[in-house]
Amino acid sequence: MKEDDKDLPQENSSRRNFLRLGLLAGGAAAVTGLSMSALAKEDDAPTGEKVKVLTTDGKLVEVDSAHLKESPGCGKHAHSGKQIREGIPNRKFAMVVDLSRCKNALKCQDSCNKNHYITGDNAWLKVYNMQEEKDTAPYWMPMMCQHCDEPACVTVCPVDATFKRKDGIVLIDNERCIGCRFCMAACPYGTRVFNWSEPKQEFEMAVEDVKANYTPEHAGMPSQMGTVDKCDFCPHMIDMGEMPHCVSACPNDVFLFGDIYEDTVTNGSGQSFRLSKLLEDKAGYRLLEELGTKPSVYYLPPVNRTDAYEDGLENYDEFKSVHKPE
Amino acid sequence: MAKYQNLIEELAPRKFSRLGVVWTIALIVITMIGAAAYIDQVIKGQVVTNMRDYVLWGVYISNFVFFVAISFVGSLTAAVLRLTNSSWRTPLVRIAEIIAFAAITMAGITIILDMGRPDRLYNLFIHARLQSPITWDVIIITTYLVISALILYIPLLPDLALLKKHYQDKPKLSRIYAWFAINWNGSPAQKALQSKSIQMVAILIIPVALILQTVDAWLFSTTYRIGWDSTNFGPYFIAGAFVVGIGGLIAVTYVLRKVYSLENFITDMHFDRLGKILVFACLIYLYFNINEYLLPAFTAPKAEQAHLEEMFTGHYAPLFWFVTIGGLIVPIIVLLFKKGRKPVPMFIIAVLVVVTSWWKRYIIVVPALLHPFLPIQGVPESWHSYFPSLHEWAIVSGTLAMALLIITILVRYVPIIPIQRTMEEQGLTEANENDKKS
Amino acid sequence: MKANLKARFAALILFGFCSLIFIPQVNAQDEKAKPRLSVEYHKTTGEPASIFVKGKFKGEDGYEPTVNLDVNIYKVITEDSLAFLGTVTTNAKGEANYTLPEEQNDTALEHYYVVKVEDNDKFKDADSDLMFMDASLTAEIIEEDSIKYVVAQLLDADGNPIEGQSLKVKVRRLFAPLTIGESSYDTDEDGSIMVEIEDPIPSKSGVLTFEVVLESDDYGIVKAVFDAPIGVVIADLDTFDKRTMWSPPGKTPLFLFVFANIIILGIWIVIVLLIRNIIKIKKS
Repeated sequence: MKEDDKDLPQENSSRRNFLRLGLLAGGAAAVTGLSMSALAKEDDAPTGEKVKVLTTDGKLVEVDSAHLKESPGCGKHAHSGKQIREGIPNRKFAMVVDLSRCKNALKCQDSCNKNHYITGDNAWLKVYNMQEEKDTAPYWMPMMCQHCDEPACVTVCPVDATFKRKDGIVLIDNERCIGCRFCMAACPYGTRVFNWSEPKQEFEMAVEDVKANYTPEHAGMPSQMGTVDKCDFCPHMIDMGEMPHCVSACPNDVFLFGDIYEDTVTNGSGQSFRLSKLLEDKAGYRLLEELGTKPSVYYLPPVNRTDAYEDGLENYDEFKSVHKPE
Repeated sequence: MAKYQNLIEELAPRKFSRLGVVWTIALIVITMIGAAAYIDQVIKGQVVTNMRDYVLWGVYISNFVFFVAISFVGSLTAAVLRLTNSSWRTPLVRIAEIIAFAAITMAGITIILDMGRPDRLYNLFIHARLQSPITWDVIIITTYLVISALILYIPLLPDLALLKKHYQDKPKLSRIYAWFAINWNGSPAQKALQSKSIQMVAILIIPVALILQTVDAWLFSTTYRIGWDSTNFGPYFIAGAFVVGIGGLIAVTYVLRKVYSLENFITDMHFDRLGKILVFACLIYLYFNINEYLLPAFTAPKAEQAHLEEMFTGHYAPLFWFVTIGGLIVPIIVLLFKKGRKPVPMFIIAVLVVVTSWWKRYIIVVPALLHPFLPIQGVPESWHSYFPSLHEWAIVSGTLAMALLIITILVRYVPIIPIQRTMEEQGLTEANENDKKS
Repeated sequence: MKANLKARFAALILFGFCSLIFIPQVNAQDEKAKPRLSVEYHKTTGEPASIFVKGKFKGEDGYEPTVNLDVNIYKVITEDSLAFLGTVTTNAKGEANYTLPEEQNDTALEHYYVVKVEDNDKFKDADSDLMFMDASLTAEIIEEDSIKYVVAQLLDADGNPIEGQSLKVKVRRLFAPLTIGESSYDTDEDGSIMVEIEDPIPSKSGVLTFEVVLESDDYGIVKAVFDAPIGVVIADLDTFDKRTMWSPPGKTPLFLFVFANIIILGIWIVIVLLIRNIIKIKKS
């Protein structure tokens, strides 16, 4: 270092330190937030570029960027096209919604909206204020895509953009959808939404990265103008051993989720139940059963309610299901 | 010779009068406005329409169904009347074929306007699922487009050859006619080929047209929706197409007759016969309407009841009764009388039929979407109703103007009344004339 | 030289200035929050024993996990002396695990540890005590008279059976284990339990992973985990490989495929013939 190079290196080095620390903290937080346990480009020689990552037991370590392996369910094309279309092997997912526990807390809807970056005016998960007739009891009914075994939406799609997987999940490929909305017309549950305008989503990551890493397994990342969206049963969470966001977010254990082949469903508090026993004991049923769609979502009737129906009216907004910052 | 030459003079396409030019320019302007609105839609997204998640199909689809329906006239008159060999139909078939061709072309274009991602149109071909009714629709519309072009073109050949000669003083125009006339010289071999081909295409177009209307109906009745999930829809749409096809034919025929002074060729008798056919069509369609609307009221399960009430006494009642009374009852009553089948009242009734038919498709598409199985909740209040936006009106008007534009252009260059055929019927062939001379 | 000193001084001033700006902003709350630490002793078959720490603090919306918090682990040697073992950092859920090294020398019946949060920028100092006794839990499946049972035995560090402890019997499932039988079973004078598996337990692979769990203040959380190939295999319930109306294009129902193509081909053959006729007319 020459004598003449006075101020610049020292000043910059201290500022650089601060920036580095700040970026590190931010980077570590972002990495944690995305729950990447390790990322990799396989069989690459060490690049010498070090990246700080958080391990699963909370340690901050430094690894060469060449040793990072992609974690399934997040990041670049984690699954092949075939895997995305076929699904998680040896599983068939089902959800149970316990209507006796729902008091319209709407934490499920908020979590779903947030984690799928929903910016339209129609949420993918809505809690309906139900009352069949004025003489029958009112109740709150969370409803999302039923992931039917005989899906009307898939049957009518002309371009194979929406598809039914072996693991029971029905997904949409927003890269292929032509926006004809026939699936929306065909769905008797009215659970699909359309992106009528450019979705103004704000991601934590750069939008180009989000677009480059698009997979139907994480719907809404990004949403595309002129295509259809709906509840995806969160395969991106299942891949990480987690349950869909609505299940985890519900403070009243309304939702249960699991694998039919294990005959087990688990609620947000981590309690597991035998699915067949639960349905038998509590007289579980499915919506619009007579249409023959064979939904994967079961409902437990609102008997022996844990809370009064009226408690839910406070949160109820007939005309809003997506709450956007003003 | 004089009569022969006169005939050609009378029936050959003429240059547009002032009115014709103004008409054409007006149509072009409306089409351009529609195109501009469409470009805006492509840029901003379909949020410029008033369609939202509940009324997910609106005027674009009802307009599309209208075009498909009116294209039925091609098979009706062209095929049926050609096959029955009745000579009174001669002046009418070409108009029918032109309308059909314009309508099916516009149907193909109109459906693309409704797509959220028209840039992915090719997906319909490379990823097509045969299980989807839309795939059937794509196939059958393409097929019908080709067939209606053929049924317009093949019988046109002799006239094209005639016009090639007629416009010898306009070499450019004559060359164009010559190119399309493909060496037609009226030889027995050619005539035999042509005659056989006309038979083939006339027979072919009937089942294709019926499949077309049925598949169009199945876009709705393959869903669960109340108001759409009806076993009646296939024949209902066929009957509806019959009505609007004849109505359209009458309306266009009247205008052309007036503008080109074709009273000698299209006489009161033609209108009288067309009137009878229209009454017949309306009666059939009325029968299907009764099956579709009146009968469900008998048992009226809750969801059906709500839908029917909307139509009979509710929000859509004015439109529903306008369409039913104006489009069916009034035409039937007026046209049962001989006086009602005179050209002028016929024209008025025909226009009424076409207009009410357009709104009829709107009534089929939109109200059903506002009666989903689950209550409409969690969406803005404006989503609980629908009326087309300015963009939608502009684009729809553009498509209707473009349809009329196609008809206008074809009428400008293609003889409205088949010249060769008319001459044969009047015993005025070139050969005969030469015989007479000698 | 003088220039260098000047530069360093300037850098220091800048550094100090930046700290004044940044540090207060890092501590957005005026006071540091008090973390609440819960400590458990975890011992699972096949894994090294560990100390599990979970931190939470009272935030704006209720209790939130302490993310990225350094926690120091100490072993209590005598009443006053602590041996520092290591530091762990909590993850996004506020949880951290410290793997205990293999102890050969420690023959004490009771083991004492302390975990502390010390000198942390964001949190106040806090500590939490842990005491546990070593116990071993073994479990397996036995079959008597065609009935399958889960049997487990709990022994203390000396090999003596522990009576009256509450054990839970679970089978591992995709998201959380499923309890078998009653919510818990108490060990008898032999330190054992025997639980009948009443309903057959389904599994795609046929292999079930069982856990017998002791949650005790004295012994910590002790799990006996073992596999048993007694799962009932369920046949596939999906239609993915079948030809259905909701399948991809490659699996179109045959009836539809054949019928539709016959119609389309029939029509288009005629169209081709018509075009051929037109060409013939042109040529003649």
